[in-house]
Amino acid sequence: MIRHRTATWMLIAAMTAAGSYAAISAQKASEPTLTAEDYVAIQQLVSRYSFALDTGADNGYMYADLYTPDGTFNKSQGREELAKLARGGRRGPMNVRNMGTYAVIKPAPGGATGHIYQQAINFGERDKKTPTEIDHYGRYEDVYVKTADGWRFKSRTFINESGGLKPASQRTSSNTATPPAAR
Amino acid sequence: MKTLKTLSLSVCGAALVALTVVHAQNRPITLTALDYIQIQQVVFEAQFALLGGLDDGRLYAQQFTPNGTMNDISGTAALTAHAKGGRPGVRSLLTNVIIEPTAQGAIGRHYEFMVNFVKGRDEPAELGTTGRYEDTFARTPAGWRIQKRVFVPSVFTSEASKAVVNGPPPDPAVKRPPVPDAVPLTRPSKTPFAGLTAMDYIQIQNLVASYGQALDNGLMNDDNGPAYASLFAPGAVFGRPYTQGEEPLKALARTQPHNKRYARHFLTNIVIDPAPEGAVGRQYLVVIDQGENGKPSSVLIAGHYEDIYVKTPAGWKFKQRTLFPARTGPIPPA
Repeated sequence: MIRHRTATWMLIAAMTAAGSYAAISAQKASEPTLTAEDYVAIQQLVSRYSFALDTGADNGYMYADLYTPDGTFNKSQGREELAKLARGGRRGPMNVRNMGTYAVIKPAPGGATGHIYQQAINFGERDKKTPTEIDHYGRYEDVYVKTADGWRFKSRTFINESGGLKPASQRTSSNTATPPAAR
Repeated sequence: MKTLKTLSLSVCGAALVALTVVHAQNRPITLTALDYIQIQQVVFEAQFALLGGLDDGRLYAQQFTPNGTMNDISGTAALTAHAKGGRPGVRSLLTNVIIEPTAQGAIGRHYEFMVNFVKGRDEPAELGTTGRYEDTFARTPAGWRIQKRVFVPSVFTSEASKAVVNGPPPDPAVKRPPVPDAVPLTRPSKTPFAGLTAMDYIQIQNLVASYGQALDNGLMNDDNGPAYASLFAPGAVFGRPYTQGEEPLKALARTQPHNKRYARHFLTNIVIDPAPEGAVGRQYLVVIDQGENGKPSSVLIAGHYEDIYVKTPAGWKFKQRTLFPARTGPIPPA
């Protein structure tokens, strides 16, 4: 009798364990995952962002086309508004300004999210006798989605962590009419 | 006699087994593309967690094994305390991440440069300490974690300059080929993996990261020449100054300050695209000299590299690499 009772308890315990395992497995199966190819493609999107922004290639449209058609950067939304962010100011095919590190990328329902630190530096040019100045530092909070054309930004939000810091040349200038710029 | 023969055969057999075991123990494990990525993610998460003091320091400690160490800080409780409160007024950029498999797991080395905001809202931010992390990673049931981490601050350029070996000045009679033209940025390919695997991308990332480290620290060797030249395929060209061939590439590297503890060439935004030759790519460069005598660090030069990569029996190598200094506005006429 005692032996029988023990056996019953063991059976219940085993069934409970199996049930929990099945529940955990089911939960894991429904959690979003990313393949190595997904991570690499998102890294490439993030790396390319700075080149598209800093060069202003194709009148800003190369930058805009890194987003989904309804994509947003801070309060700017859609291809035309986004392309404007990559025009004016410091641009050009040889321009370097927004240096990013790699993104921390996490799978999320419908795609992925990421965050990444970025340092913008206005590099001086010898022939123009301009100084090198740190412009701003901050982080991006991203949402990525996989489209028929590959991974794109669904949204990108910039959080300036360098507060109101301005480079020396801008602080001494009375000209505050700087064009709106993506960061 | 038969017994002796059997015995010696057994001894030989045992020795062979032992040798095989030793050999297997020393052979690096095979890392998948996802292993490399998960290790990268631990490195980047640790940076965010430390600077932001996320989850009261716990997120930083979670990137380590329970007995993990950072310099002389050891174990989860101490690592949590180390990260608690974050680093207000201090941020950084991580670059040049190299990850290599070992027999036990993996090791990694990457650069960091600090950015300081501590002087108040009206002062411009300044560049701070530069250096290198040396990591040992372990695979745990919870995923890859940092087992051991050491931060090696960069030596100053004045120290690294002692190793400079200047070659003879260029012969003005010898006409050098022109610097390769810059190639405009293209849109991302609709088939980003055409002919390339995720592992190819990771190996090219490692190659690019190794470039800065080979030049600065000779990949942990006193002489940076062989480490630097080993990254180029036979016949490859470095475009500025135009350099071709193993010995000239070694000599070029030696003209730059170098030291096993030196960090100077920071490479970010590694873009890689499939190409008929193998792959092409570009990335940003900033050369930072750590400030001496309490001065902030300074930028020597910045720009972007444009590369052609080829897959050789010894892995991905540079076939062509050219630096284009940073400048705003249209390309000036040659």
